[in-house]
Amino acid sequence: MTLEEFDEALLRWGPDLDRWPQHQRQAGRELLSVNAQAQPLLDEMTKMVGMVDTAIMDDTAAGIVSATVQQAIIRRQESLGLMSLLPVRRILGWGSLASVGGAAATVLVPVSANAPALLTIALGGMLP
Amino acid sequence: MLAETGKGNQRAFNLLVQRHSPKLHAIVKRYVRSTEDADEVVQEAFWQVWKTAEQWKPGEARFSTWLYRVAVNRSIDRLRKDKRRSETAVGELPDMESSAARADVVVEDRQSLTIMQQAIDRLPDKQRLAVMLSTHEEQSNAAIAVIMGGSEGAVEQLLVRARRSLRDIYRELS
Repeated sequence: MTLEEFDEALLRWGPDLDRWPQHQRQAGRELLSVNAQAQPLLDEMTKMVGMVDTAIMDDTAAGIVSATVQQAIIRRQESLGLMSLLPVRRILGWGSLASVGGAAATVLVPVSANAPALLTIALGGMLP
Repeated sequence: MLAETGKGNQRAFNLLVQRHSPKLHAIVKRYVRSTEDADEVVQEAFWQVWKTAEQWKPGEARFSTWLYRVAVNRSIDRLRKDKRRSETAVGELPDMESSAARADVVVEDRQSLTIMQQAIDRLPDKQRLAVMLSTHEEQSNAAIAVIMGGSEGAVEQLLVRARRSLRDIYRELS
């Protein structure tokens, strides 16, 4: 491997030689052992990639974990039938349903659209 | 953990989100250039994962590859819907001089980092995504090809161009 090929490989696969294809990795290590110009190129790419990694880091995602979990729980509940209960509410005024997807669920929804909805969902250790 | 998520185990899902969402959010945010859109893409991606967790086959791909593919597809949808964003985004990038003025004893490092952030943000979309997946998520070039829906050779060309551009910036900073 020439120094130019080594430089091209750094750009192609990055500075971690363990992530290079096997035969290129071997050739790269041999070049490092015989050509004093190769190591500075590797060191430079290592520092540059470290800087890029730091630059990508995000300090605005503090609430993303809880928001993502909460959003998924709401969608999960909707997908498992709570949305389909709405027509029942219109017909019966009060809906009381149990055993959705194996989990016990009780839903009480007042008829009036202006009254606050009372929604009680009793779940086991798992989500439905 | 994913198998448990597929069964509806909220705790397992919570752990998956804790483990993967910060890096995913960081990459998506710089890809779509919007914190708000990144929030939504990450939430949509994890919901998709939860919905289809039972279909995932461990032998076919790493979980993170699957997750990132879902998120990238969602991101591309958003970028297509709002093409103006990429044009306005450059104007929204942090101003180097004002950032430096706010910094204290680490002015030089902070300024260099800001310049590198600007350089990443100004890369073409595909180059930016490829270099972020390789650097921040340490995905292999083959996995990046799966995530981006292209060939490994095409990904390598994207990475060569992206790293060369960023290295030029790095050399100027050094």
